[in-house]
Amino acid sequence: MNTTFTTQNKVALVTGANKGLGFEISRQLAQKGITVIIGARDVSKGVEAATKLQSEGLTIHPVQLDVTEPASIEALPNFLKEHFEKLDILVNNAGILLDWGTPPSQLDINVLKKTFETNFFGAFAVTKAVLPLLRQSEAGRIVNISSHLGSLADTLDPNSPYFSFQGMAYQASKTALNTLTVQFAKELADTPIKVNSATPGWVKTDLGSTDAPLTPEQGADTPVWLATLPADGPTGGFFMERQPYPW
Amino acid sequence: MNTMNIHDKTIALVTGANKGLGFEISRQLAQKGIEVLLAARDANKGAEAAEKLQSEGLDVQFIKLDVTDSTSITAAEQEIRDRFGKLDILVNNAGVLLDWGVQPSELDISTLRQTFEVNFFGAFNVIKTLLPLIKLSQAGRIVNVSSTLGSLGDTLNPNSPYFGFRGMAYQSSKTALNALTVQFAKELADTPIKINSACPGWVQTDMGTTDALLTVEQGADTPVWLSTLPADGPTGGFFNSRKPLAW
Repeated sequence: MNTTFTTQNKVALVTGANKGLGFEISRQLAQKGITVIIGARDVSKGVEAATKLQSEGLTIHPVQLDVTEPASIEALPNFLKEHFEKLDILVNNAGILLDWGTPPSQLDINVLKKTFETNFFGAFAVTKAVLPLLRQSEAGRIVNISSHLGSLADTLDPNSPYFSFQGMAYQASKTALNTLTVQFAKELADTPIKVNSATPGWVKTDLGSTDAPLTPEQGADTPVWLATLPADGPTGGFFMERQPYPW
Repeated sequence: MNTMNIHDKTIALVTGANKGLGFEISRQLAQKGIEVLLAARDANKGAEAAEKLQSEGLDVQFIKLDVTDSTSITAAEQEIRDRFGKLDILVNNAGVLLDWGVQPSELDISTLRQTFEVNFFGAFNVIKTLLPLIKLSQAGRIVNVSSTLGSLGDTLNPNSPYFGFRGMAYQSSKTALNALTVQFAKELADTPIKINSACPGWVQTDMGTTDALLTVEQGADTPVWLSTLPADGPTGGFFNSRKPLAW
Protein backbone atom coordinates (compact mmCIF):
# COMPACT_ATOMS: atom_id res chain seq x y z
CA MET A 1 0.00 0.00 0.00
CA ASN A 2 1.56 3.27 -1.14
CA THR A 3 -1.48 5.46 -0.87
CA THR A 4 -1.05 8.76 0.90
CA PHE A 5 -4.23 10.00 2.47
CA THR A 6 -3.06 13.59 2.65
CA THR A 7 -5.67 15.51 4.53
CA GLN A 8 -6.34 18.93 5.91
CA ASN A 9 -8.32 17.15 8.59
CA LYS A 10 -6.93 16.27 11.94
CA VAL A 11 -5.60 12.74 12.24
CA ALA A 12 -6.26 10.57 15.31
CA LEU A 13 -4.98 7.14 16.34
CA VAL A 14 -7.12 5.09 18.72
CA THR A 15 -5.59 1.86 20.06
CA GLY A 16 -7.68 -1.24 20.77
CA ALA A 17 -10.41 0.26 18.60
CA ASN A 18 -12.05 -2.65 16.80
CA LYS A 19 -14.78 -2.91 19.43
CA GLY A 20 -16.25 -1.48 22.62
CA LEU A 21 -15.16 1.90 23.87
CA GLY A 22 -12.31 2.36 21.37
CA PHE A 23 -14.69 1.70 18.48
CA GLU A 24 -17.16 4.28 19.79
CA ILE A 25 -14.42 6.88 20.47
CA SER A 26 -13.27 6.37 16.86
CA ARG A 27 -16.81 6.89 15.58
CA GLN A 28 -17.37 10.09 17.59
CA LEU A 29 -14.00 11.57 16.59
CA ALA A 30 -14.71 10.78 12.93
CA GLN A 31 -18.15 12.36 13.24
CA LYS A 32 -16.28 15.58 14.06
CA GLY A 33 -14.52 15.42 10.70
CA ILE A 34 -11.35 13.83 12.05
CA THR A 35 -9.54 11.14 10.08
CA VAL A 36 -9.34 8.21 12.47
CA ILE A 37 -6.91 5.32 12.38
CA ILE A 38 -8.15 2.39 14.39
CA GLY A 39 -5.48 0.18 15.85
CA ALA A 40 -6.33 -3.49 16.34
CA ARG A 41 -4.22 -6.53 17.16
CA ASP A 42 -6.22 -8.68 14.78
CA VAL A 43 -6.01 -7.10 11.34
CA SER A 44 -9.20 -8.77 10.04
CA LYS A 45 -11.20 -7.43 13.00
CA GLY A 46 -9.68 -4.01 12.40
CA VAL A 47 -10.69 -4.07 8.74
CA GLU A 48 -14.19 -5.22 9.64
CA ALA A 49 -14.61 -2.42 12.20
CA ALA A 50 -13.25 0.17 9.74
CA THR A 51 -15.62 -1.04 7.01
CA LYS A 52 -18.56 -0.67 9.38
CA LEU A 53 -17.68 2.93 10.24
CA GLN A 54 -16.85 3.74 6.61
CA SER A 55 -20.37 2.59 5.70
CA GLU A 56 -21.63 5.35 8.01
CA GLY A 57 -19.76 7.82 5.80
CA LEU A 58 -16.83 8.26 8.19
CA THR A 59 -13.13 8.55 7.31
CA ILE A 60 -11.56 5.54 9.01
CA HIS A 61 -8.42 3.51 8.32
CA PRO A 62 -7.39 0.31 10.09
CA VAL A 63 -3.84 -0.48 11.20
CA GLN A 64 -2.49 -3.67 12.70
CA LEU A 65 -1.21 -2.67 16.14
CA ASP A 66 -0.35 -4.84 19.11
CA VAL A 67 0.78 -2.49 21.90
CA THR A 68 2.76 -5.34 23.50
CA GLU A 69 4.76 -6.07 20.33
CA PRO A 70 7.87 -3.89 19.87
CA ALA A 71 7.97 -4.57 16.11
CA SER A 72 4.36 -3.50 15.75
CA ILE A 73 5.04 -0.24 17.58
CA GLU A 74 8.29 0.46 15.74
CA ALA A 75 6.44 0.27 12.43
CA LEU A 76 3.86 2.81 13.57
CA PRO A 77 5.67 6.15 13.06
CA ASN A 78 6.66 5.29 9.48
CA PHE A 79 3.16 4.05 8.68
CA LEU A 80 1.68 7.32 9.94
CA LYS A 81 4.26 9.45 8.08
CA GLU A 82 3.86 7.57 4.81
CA HIS A 83 0.09 7.53 4.69
CA PHE A 84 -1.05 10.53 6.70
CA GLU A 85 2.05 12.72 7.07
CA LYS A 86 1.08 13.65 10.63
CA LEU A 87 -0.68 12.76 13.86
CA ASP A 88 -2.73 15.15 15.99
CA ILE A 89 -4.47 12.90 18.51
CA LEU A 90 -3.46 9.71 20.29
CA VAL A 91 -6.01 7.82 22.38
CA ASN A 92 -4.36 5.05 24.42
CA ASN A 93 -7.47 2.94 24.78
CA ALA A 94 -6.12 -0.63 24.49
CA GLY A 95 -6.54 -2.24 27.88
CA ILE A 96 -7.30 -5.54 29.57
CA LEU A 97 -9.03 -6.50 32.81
CA LEU A 98 -7.99 -10.03 33.80
CA ASP A 99 -8.45 -10.11 37.58
CA TRP A 100 -11.98 -8.92 38.30
CA GLY A 101 -13.00 -10.45 41.64
CA THR A 102 -9.51 -11.71 42.52
CA PRO A 103 -8.18 -10.67 45.96
CA PRO A 104 -4.56 -9.41 45.83
CA SER A 105 -3.28 -12.44 47.77
CA GLN A 106 -4.72 -14.78 45.11
CA LEU A 107 -3.40 -12.81 42.15
CA ASP A 108 -0.95 -14.69 39.91
CA ILE A 109 2.15 -12.56 39.29
CA ASN A 110 1.97 -13.52 35.61
CA VAL A 111 -1.51 -12.01 35.39
CA LEU A 112 -0.19 -8.87 37.09
CA LYS A 113 2.68 -8.60 34.60
CA LYS A 114 0.45 -9.33 31.61
CA THR A 115 -1.96 -6.60 32.69
CA PHE A 116 0.88 -4.09 32.98
CA GLU A 117 2.24 -5.13 29.56
CA THR A 118 -0.88 -3.86 27.82
CA ASN A 119 -2.29 -1.21 30.15
CA PHE A 120 0.96 0.50 31.19
CA PHE A 121 4.10 -0.53 29.27
CA GLY A 122 2.07 -0.68 26.04
CA ALA A 123 0.65 2.81 26.51
CA PHE A 124 4.13 4.11 27.32
CA ALA A 125 5.67 2.48 24.23
CA VAL A 126 3.01 3.84 21.87
CA THR A 127 3.20 7.33 23.38
CA LYS A 128 6.98 7.43 23.12
CA ALA A 129 6.90 6.13 19.53
CA VAL A 130 4.46 8.70 18.15
CA LEU A 131 5.48 11.68 20.29
CA PRO A 132 7.83 13.12 17.62
CA LEU A 133 4.83 13.25 15.23
CA LEU A 134 2.55 14.79 17.86
CA ARG A 135 5.18 17.47 18.48
CA GLN A 136 4.76 18.52 14.83
CA SER A 137 1.03 18.99 15.29
CA GLU A 138 -0.29 22.45 16.05
CA ALA A 139 -2.52 21.01 18.76
CA GLY A 140 -1.34 17.57 19.84
CA ARG A 141 -3.61 15.72 22.26
CA ILE A 142 -2.92 12.52 24.18
CA VAL A 143 -5.72 10.79 26.07
CA ASN A 144 -4.98 7.83 28.32
CA ILE A 145 -8.04 5.71 29.03
CA SER A 146 -7.71 5.18 32.74
CA SER A 147 -10.41 4.19 35.21
CA HIS A 148 -12.03 5.43 38.38
CA LEU A 149 -10.95 2.00 39.67
CA GLY A 150 -7.38 3.33 39.49
CA SER A 151 -8.17 6.23 41.81
CA LEU A 152 -6.54 5.59 45.19
CA ALA A 153 -8.91 8.06 46.83
CA ASP A 154 -11.97 6.38 45.34
CA THR A 155 -10.94 2.83 46.23
CA LEU A 156 -10.47 3.92 49.86
CA ASP A 157 -13.87 5.64 50.02
CA PRO A 158 -16.39 3.30 51.69
CA ASN A 159 -19.19 5.35 50.08
CA SER A 160 -17.91 4.75 46.56
CA PRO A 161 -20.06 2.33 44.54
CA TYR A 162 -16.77 0.69 43.52
CA PHE A 163 -15.40 0.27 47.07
CA SER A 164 -15.81 -3.51 47.02
CA PHE A 165 -14.32 -3.97 43.55
CA GLN A 166 -11.33 -6.30 43.62
CA GLY A 167 -8.85 -6.36 40.76
CA MET A 168 -5.49 -5.09 41.93
CA ALA A 169 -3.67 -5.75 38.66
CA TYR A 170 -6.14 -3.63 36.69
CA GLN A 171 -6.40 -0.99 39.39
CA ALA A 172 -2.63 -0.58 39.90
CA SER A 173 -2.04 -0.49 36.13
CA LYS A 174 -4.48 2.40 35.80
CA THR A 175 -2.95 4.23 38.78
CA ALA A 176 0.44 3.83 37.09
CA LEU A 177 -1.05 5.05 33.80
CA ASN A 178 -2.16 8.21 35.60
CA THR A 179 1.46 8.76 36.61
CA LEU A 180 2.44 8.49 32.96
CA THR A 181 -0.17 11.14 32.14
CA VAL A 182 1.21 13.49 34.77
CA GLN A 183 4.89 13.06 33.95
CA PHE A 184 4.44 13.44 30.19
CA ALA A 185 2.24 16.49 30.80
CA LYS A 186 5.02 18.04 32.89
CA GLU A 187 7.65 17.33 30.24
CA LEU A 188 5.40 18.77 27.52
CA ALA A 189 4.15 21.75 29.54
CA ASP A 190 5.91 24.24 27.23
CA THR A 191 4.45 22.69 24.07
CA PRO A 192 0.89 22.82 22.66
CA ILE A 193 0.49 19.13 23.55
CA LYS A 194 -2.02 18.25 26.25
CA VAL A 195 -1.97 14.91 28.05
CA ASN A 196 -4.88 13.78 30.20
CA SER A 197 -6.38 10.66 31.75
CA ALA A 198 -10.06 9.89 31.24
CA THR A 199 -12.28 7.49 33.06
CA PRO A 200 -15.18 6.64 30.79
CA GLY A 201 -17.19 5.38 33.75
CA TRP A 202 -18.55 1.83 33.92
CA VAL A 203 -19.48 1.06 30.34
CA LYS A 204 -21.39 -1.79 28.68
CA THR A 205 -18.55 -3.45 26.74
CA ASP A 206 -16.90 -6.87 26.78
CA LEU A 207 -14.64 -5.47 29.54
CA GLY A 208 -17.40 -3.76 31.53
CA SER A 209 -20.04 -6.51 31.07
CA THR A 210 -23.74 -5.97 30.45
CA ASP A 211 -24.23 -5.00 34.11
CA ALA A 212 -22.66 -1.60 33.44
CA PRO A 213 -24.90 1.47 33.69
CA LEU A 214 -23.44 3.46 30.77
CA THR A 215 -23.64 2.94 27.02
CA PRO A 216 -20.42 3.19 24.97
CA GLU A 217 -21.85 6.43 23.52
CA GLN A 218 -21.95 7.94 27.01
CA GLY A 219 -18.57 6.46 27.97
CA ALA A 220 -16.85 7.96 24.93
CA ASP A 221 -17.90 11.51 25.80
CA THR A 222 -15.06 12.43 28.18
CA PRO A 223 -12.29 10.81 26.10
CA VAL A 224 -13.56 12.56 22.95
CA TRP A 225 -13.80 15.87 24.81
CA LEU A 226 -10.18 15.51 26.01
CA ALA A 227 -9.04 14.48 22.51
CA THR A 228 -10.42 17.72 21.09
CA LEU A 229 -9.63 20.19 23.87
CA PRO A 230 -9.11 23.82 22.88
CA ALA A 231 -5.72 25.49 23.40
CA ASP A 232 -6.75 26.76 26.84
CA GLY A 233 -7.90 23.33 28.03
CA PRO A 234 -6.35 21.41 30.93
CA THR A 235 -3.32 19.12 30.85
CA GLY A 236 -2.00 16.58 33.33
CA GLY A 237 -5.47 15.91 34.70
CA PHE A 238 -7.79 12.99 35.42
CA PHE A 239 -11.42 13.42 34.37
CA MET A 240 -14.78 11.71 34.64
CA GLU A 241 -17.87 13.25 33.00
CA ARG A 242 -15.63 16.19 32.03
CA GLN A 243 -14.96 16.94 35.73
CA PRO A 244 -11.69 16.45 37.65
CA TYR A 245 -11.50 13.15 39.50
CA PRO A 246 -9.29 12.54 42.58
CA TRP A 247 -6.05 10.57 42.10
CA MET B 1 17.26 -25.02 72.92
CA ASN B 2 13.74 -23.98 73.85
CA THR B 3 12.04 -23.46 70.51
CA MET B 4 8.92 -21.88 72.00
CA ASN B 5 10.92 -18.93 73.31
CA ILE B 6 12.24 -18.26 69.83
CA HIS B 7 8.69 -18.24 68.49
CA ASP B 8 7.67 -15.69 71.11
CA LYS B 9 10.12 -13.16 69.79
CA THR B 10 8.99 -10.65 67.20
CA ILE B 11 10.56 -11.51 63.83
CA ALA B 12 11.10 -8.92 61.10
CA LEU B 13 12.36 -9.24 57.54
CA VAL B 14 13.81 -6.21 55.74
CA THR B 15 14.57 -6.51 52.01
CA GLY B 16 17.51 -4.76 50.33
CA ALA B 17 19.00 -4.32 53.78
CA ASN B 18 22.77 -4.67 53.32
CA LYS B 19 23.20 -0.89 53.09
CA GLY B 20 21.49 2.46 53.17
CA LEU B 21 17.97 2.82 54.47
CA GLY B 22 17.27 -0.92 54.75
CA PHE B 23 20.39 -1.38 56.89
CA GLU B 24 19.35 1.42 59.22
CA ILE B 25 15.74 0.17 59.46
CA SER B 26 17.16 -3.24 60.43
CA ARG B 27 19.32 -1.60 63.11
CA GLN B 28 16.47 0.42 64.60
CA LEU B 29 14.09 -2.55 64.64
CA ALA B 30 16.75 -4.70 66.32
CA GLN B 31 17.37 -1.96 68.87
CA LYS B 32 13.73 -2.45 69.89
CA GLY B 33 14.47 -6.09 70.74
CA ILE B 34 13.14 -7.46 67.45
CA GLU B 35 14.96 -10.33 65.76
CA VAL B 36 15.77 -9.02 62.31
CA LEU B 37 16.34 -11.03 59.16
CA LEU B 38 18.50 -8.77 57.03
CA ALA B 39 17.74 -9.74 53.44
CA ALA B 40 20.10 -9.07 50.54
CA ARG B 41 20.79 -10.43 47.06
CA ASP B 42 24.52 -10.67 47.60
CA ALA B 43 25.47 -13.25 50.27
CA ASN B 44 28.84 -11.65 51.06
CA LYS B 45 27.49 -8.13 51.44
CA GLY B 46 24.49 -9.39 53.40
CA ALA B 47 26.56 -11.45 55.82
CA GLU B 48 28.99 -8.57 56.31
CA ALA B 49 26.14 -6.14 57.09
CA ALA B 50 24.58 -8.59 59.56
CA GLU B 51 27.94 -9.09 61.30
CA LYS B 52 28.32 -5.34 61.69
CA LEU B 53 24.97 -5.09 63.48
CA GLN B 54 25.73 -8.20 65.53
CA SER B 55 28.92 -6.48 66.72
CA GLU B 56 26.65 -3.76 68.10
CA GLY B 57 24.99 -6.49 70.21
CA LEU B 58 21.90 -6.68 67.99
CA ASP B 59 19.96 -9.81 67.07
CA VAL B 60 20.36 -9.64 63.30
CA GLN B 61 20.84 -12.50 60.86
CA PHE B 62 21.44 -12.51 57.14
CA ILE B 63 18.94 -14.20 54.82
CA LYS B 64 19.53 -14.48 51.09
CA LEU B 65 16.73 -12.95 49.05
CA ASP B 66 16.51 -11.61 45.52
CA VAL B 67 13.07 -9.99 45.16
CA THR B 68 13.13 -10.47 41.37
CA ASP B 69 13.57 -14.24 41.71
CA SER B 70 10.52 -16.30 42.72
CA THR B 71 12.69 -19.30 43.62
CA SER B 72 14.72 -17.17 46.01
CA ILE B 73 11.57 -15.78 47.66
CA THR B 74 10.09 -19.26 48.07
CA ALA B 75 13.34 -20.52 49.61
CA ALA B 76 13.35 -17.62 52.11
CA GLU B 77 9.72 -18.39 53.00
CA GLN B 78 10.64 -22.02 53.69
CA GLU B 79 13.63 -21.00 55.83
CA ILE B 80 11.54 -18.60 57.94
CA ARG B 81 8.77 -21.21 58.29
CA ASP B 82 11.24 -23.87 59.45
CA ARG B 83 13.11 -21.63 61.88
CA PHE B 84 10.41 -19.36 63.30
CA GLY B 85 7.02 -20.65 62.14
CA LYS B 86 5.79 -17.11 61.50
CA LEU B 87 6.75 -13.62 60.39
CA ASP B 88 5.62 -10.51 62.27
CA ILE B 89 7.05 -7.64 60.24
CA LEU B 90 7.89 -7.32 56.55
CA VAL B 91 9.59 -4.18 55.26
CA ASN B 92 9.65 -4.04 51.46
CA ASN B 93 12.63 -1.74 51.18
CA ALA B 94 14.48 -3.14 48.14
CA GLY B 95 14.25 -0.59 45.38
CA VAL B 96 16.11 0.90 42.44
CA LEU B 97 16.23 4.40 40.98
CA LEU B 98 17.60 4.14 37.45
CA ASP B 99 16.16 7.19 35.67
CA TRP B 100 16.93 10.24 37.80
CA GLY B 101 16.98 13.24 35.46
CA VAL B 102 15.58 11.32 32.49
CA GLN B 103 12.58 12.84 30.69
CA PRO B 104 9.67 10.43 30.03
CA SER B 105 10.17 10.76 26.27
CA GLU B 106 13.85 9.72 26.66
CA LEU B 107 13.15 6.81 28.99
CA ASP B 108 14.17 3.40 27.67
CA ILE B 109 11.33 0.90 28.09
CA SER B 110 13.81 -1.70 29.38
CA THR B 111 14.73 0.71 32.21
CA LEU B 112 11.02 1.15 32.96
CA ARG B 113 10.53 -2.63 33.09
CA GLN B 114 13.67 -3.18 35.21
CA THR B 115 12.47 -0.58 37.71
CA PHE B 116 9.07 -2.25 38.00
CA GLU B 117 10.67 -5.70 38.38
CA VAL B 118 12.28 -4.65 41.67
CA ASN B 119 10.10 -1.84 43.03
CA PHE B 120 6.66 -3.21 42.18
CA PHE B 121 6.52 -6.81 40.93
CA GLY B 122 9.24 -7.77 43.43
CA ALA B 123 7.40 -6.20 46.35
CA PHE B 124 4.17 -7.89 45.26
CA ASN B 125 5.80 -11.30 45.00
CA VAL B 126 7.46 -10.99 48.41
CA ILE B 127 4.20 -9.96 50.08
CA LYS B 128 2.18 -12.67 48.37
CA THR B 129 4.69 -15.40 49.21
CA LEU B 130 5.24 -14.37 52.84
CA LEU B 131 1.62 -13.46 53.63
CA PRO B 132 0.69 -16.94 54.93
CA LEU B 133 3.54 -16.60 57.49
CA ILE B 134 2.47 -13.07 58.41
CA LYS B 135 -1.08 -14.31 58.96
CA LEU B 136 0.36 -16.57 61.69
CA SER B 137 1.54 -13.49 63.61
CA GLN B 138 -0.59 -11.89 66.30
CA ALA B 139 0.19 -8.42 64.95
CA GLY B 140 1.46 -8.60 61.38
CA ARG B 141 2.85 -5.39 59.91
CA ILE B 142 3.83 -4.76 56.29
CA VAL B 143 5.63 -1.57 55.32
CA ASN B 144 6.21 -0.65 51.69
CA VAL B 145 9.02 1.87 51.37
CA SER B 146 7.51 4.26 48.85
CA SER B 147 8.41 7.86 48.08
CA THR B 148 6.92 11.35 48.00
CA LEU B 149 8.15 11.26 44.39
CA GLY B 150 5.38 8.73 43.79
CA SER B 151 2.70 11.11 45.05
CA LEU B 152 0.60 12.41 42.15
CA GLY B 153 -0.52 15.32 44.30
CA ASP B 154 3.06 16.28 45.14
CA THR B 155 4.49 15.95 41.63
CA LEU B 156 1.79 18.32 40.34
CA ASN B 157 2.41 20.89 43.07
CA PRO B 158 4.66 23.68 41.71
CA ASN B 159 5.53 24.60 45.31
CA SER B 160 6.89 21.14 46.11
CA PRO B 161 10.69 20.99 46.45
CA TYR B 162 10.49 17.89 44.23
CA PHE B 163 8.44 19.52 41.44
CA GLY B 164 11.47 19.62 39.12
CA PHE B 165 12.42 15.97 39.73
CA ARG B 166 12.43 13.79 36.60
CA GLY B 167 12.29 10.00 36.89
CA MET B 168 9.01 8.60 35.61
CA ALA B 169 10.04 4.95 35.98
CA TYR B 170 10.85 5.39 39.68
CA GLN B 171 7.88 7.66 40.28
CA SER B 172 5.28 5.44 38.61
CA SER B 173 6.69 2.31 40.30
CA LYS B 174 6.17 3.97 43.70
CA THR B 175 2.66 5.15 42.77
CA ALA B 176 1.86 1.57 41.74
CA LEU B 177 3.37 0.33 45.02
CA ASN B 178 0.95 2.61 46.86
CA ALA B 179 -1.92 0.94 44.95
CA LEU B 180 -0.59 -2.38 46.21
CA THR B 181 -0.58 -1.04 49.79
CA VAL B 182 -4.18 0.07 49.48
CA GLN B 183 -5.55 -3.10 47.89
CA PHE B 184 -3.81 -5.47 50.32
CA ALA B 185 -4.99 -3.29 53.23
CA LYS B 186 -8.56 -3.64 51.99
CA GLU B 187 -8.27 -7.40 51.63
CA LEU B 188 -6.71 -7.70 55.12
CA ALA B 189 -9.05 -5.20 56.82
CA ASP B 190 -10.64 -7.92 58.98
CA THR B 191 -7.28 -9.28 60.17
CA PRO B 192 -4.76 -7.83 62.69
CA ILE B 193 -2.39 -7.13 59.76
CA LYS B 194 -1.63 -3.50 58.94
CA ILE B 195 -0.04 -2.47 55.69
CA ASN B 196 1.17 1.03 54.95
CA SER B 197 3.42 2.97 52.57
CA ALA B 198 6.24 5.06 54.03
CA CYS B 199 8.17 7.87 52.43
CA PRO B 200 11.49 8.11 54.28
CA GLY B 201 12.11 11.56 52.80
CA TRP B 202 15.21 12.41 50.77
CA VAL B 203 17.90 10.42 52.53
CA GLN B 204 21.70 10.37 52.31
CA THR B 205 22.25 6.94 50.74
CA ASP B 206 23.78 5.64 47.51
CA MET B 207 20.34 6.19 45.95
CA GLY B 208 19.66 9.58 47.51
CA THR B 209 23.24 10.90 47.09
CA THR B 210 25.11 13.10 49.56
CA ASP B 211 22.99 16.08 48.47
CA ALA B 212 20.07 14.66 50.44
CA LEU B 213 18.66 16.51 53.42
CA LEU B 214 18.14 13.66 55.87
CA THR B 215 20.44 11.18 57.57
CA VAL B 216 19.52 7.50 57.30
CA GLU B 217 18.70 7.59 61.01
CA GLN B 218 16.04 10.22 60.33
CA GLY B 219 14.80 8.43 57.19
CA ALA B 220 14.25 5.16 59.03
CA ASP B 221 11.95 6.75 61.61
CA THR B 222 8.63 6.54 59.71
CA PRO B 223 9.20 2.99 58.34
CA VAL B 224 10.16 1.77 61.83
CA TRP B 225 7.14 3.50 63.35
CA LEU B 226 4.82 1.82 60.81
CA SER B 227 6.54 -1.55 61.43
CA THR B 228 5.71 -1.35 65.12
CA LEU B 229 2.25 0.24 65.04
CA PRO B 230 -0.09 -0.60 67.91
CA ALA B 231 -3.34 -2.48 67.27
CA ASP B 232 -5.27 0.77 66.84
CA GLY B 233 -2.81 2.20 64.31
CA PRO B 234 -3.66 3.09 60.71
CA THR B 235 -3.70 0.75 57.70
CA GLY B 236 -3.82 1.45 53.96
CA GLY B 237 -2.09 4.81 54.40
CA PHE B 238 0.89 6.74 53.00
CA PHE B 239 3.10 8.53 55.52
CA ASN B 240 6.06 10.89 55.67
CA SER B 241 7.46 12.07 59.01
CA ARG B 242 4.63 10.02 60.59
CA LYS B 243 2.03 12.27 58.86
CA PRO B 244 -0.38 11.30 56.03
CA LEU B 245 0.79 12.23 52.52
CA ALA B 246 -1.39 13.00 49.48
CA TRP B 247 -1.67 10.14 46.96
